[in-house]
Amino acid sequence: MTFARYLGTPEGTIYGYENSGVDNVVMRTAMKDLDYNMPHIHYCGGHYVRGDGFPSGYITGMMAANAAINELRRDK
Amino acid sequence: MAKQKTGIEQLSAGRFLKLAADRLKFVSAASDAPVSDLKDHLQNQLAEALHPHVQFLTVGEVIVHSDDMKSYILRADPQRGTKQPAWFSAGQYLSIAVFIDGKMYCRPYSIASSPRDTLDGFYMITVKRVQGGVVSGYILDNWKVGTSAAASAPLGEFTYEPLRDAKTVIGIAGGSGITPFRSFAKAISEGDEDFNLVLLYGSRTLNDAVFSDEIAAMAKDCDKIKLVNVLSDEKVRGKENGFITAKLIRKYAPKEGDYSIFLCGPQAMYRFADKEIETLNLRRKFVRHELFGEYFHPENDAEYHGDAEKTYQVTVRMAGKTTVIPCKGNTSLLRAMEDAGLNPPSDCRSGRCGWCHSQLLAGEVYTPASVDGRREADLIYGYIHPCCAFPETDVTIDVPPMPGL
Ligand code: FES
Repeated sequence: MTFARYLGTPEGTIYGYENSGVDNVVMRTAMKDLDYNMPHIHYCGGHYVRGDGFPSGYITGMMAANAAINELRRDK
Repeated sequence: MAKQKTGIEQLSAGRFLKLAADRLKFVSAASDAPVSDLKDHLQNQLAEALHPHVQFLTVGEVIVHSDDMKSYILRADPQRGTKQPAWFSAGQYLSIAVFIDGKMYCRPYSIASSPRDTLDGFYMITVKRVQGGVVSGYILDNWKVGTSAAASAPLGEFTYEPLRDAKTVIGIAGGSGITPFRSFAKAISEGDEDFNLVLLYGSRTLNDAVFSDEIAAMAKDCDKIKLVNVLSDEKVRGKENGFITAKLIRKYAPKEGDYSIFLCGPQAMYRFADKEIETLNLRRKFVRHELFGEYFHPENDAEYHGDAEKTYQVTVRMAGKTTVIPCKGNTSLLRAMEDAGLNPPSDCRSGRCGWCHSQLLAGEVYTPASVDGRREADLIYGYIHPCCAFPETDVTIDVPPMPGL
């Protein structure tokens, strides 16, 4: 209920979109530029390309942070 | 016979490149209708029922204690979308939003009714006239049966927590600070809270002690509740006389074992009682205060470097819009934004809840240490709570807009 309150996801789920045959980590990664095409926004967490789980959260968090830092450096 | 290829040997670059196209086809063919509505999910319904963004209420009854103090029964207003008031823990408050000349002002009021009363569809708050206050006077003079009101969800941490608090609580109430204790007492007598409440209720005369009879009646039927009236301006047989001192607390505290002290009252009472309580050497967790309330007169503090009478210029950035407003040195930035009709967000107005959390982009403000609820990261990145920040120079701040209203 607390997750439902703060995240606004159905039943408060924290697990992002389900991986399926055609929609899995590899294909999401291959198509990430097409799926996530808003400039200056970097994504991470269970709803992003790697799906749910702590390791995915950490790794995509690191990727997003690096991407943001690189972008800031580039724009300077 | 040709050797069977293993999994990895089956991979081919050609097939791999086709995967993206396959997925694109699959995604494009999918329906764009929502799979489900959040409102259909039990946990989301529960979250909305217990923590609504806003509760629409109407005044169902007005109880007049005096010209300067009235209680209001606030009922859910289903026509505007609130079916039932949200459940709460005794001791919590509502932030009530009032529109005066089109400007929104929010003020926190303790809930005086019990959690169980929400099942009967209502809250009760008690409003006392504050000298120089905009909202209390407006409510007392204008609210009648049928007036529409809007409130936050129940908020605040002035609640009983059995893992932290002792089995016996000495409640120290001053004036209208009795309201959360009425809720505690009623919740205990209704079985929703389980602790012993010894209530030291300070008032000038017995006549001023609102809810005293009601709480005395609850105490009669429930041995977990005890009421002690402490009268400062009057001697009445069987009642204590004077102020609430350490000696008096010791007299009514359990002779053995721990006890907690909960305080709710005017700022002058906190200042007096805190000195007395210090001499009791209680563990810090056993002394709990309700919100300090709005801070006035920063100019009396040695740490304040502004000019109380000077009008500073405050540049407010909110949701992409920039407005320049005046703010006197002795006025909080929040109050100045309210007066300017910017509808800034606020709940506790005491530096505790973080709802008004804003960024200071330029200039200097003063935040009194006693109401400075900021964390280290706030200090590093220049965040302030406008509810208890007073300008010392012209300032520029970035403020989040009020959601929900
Ligand atoms: S309103 Fe709660 S911290 Fe300012």
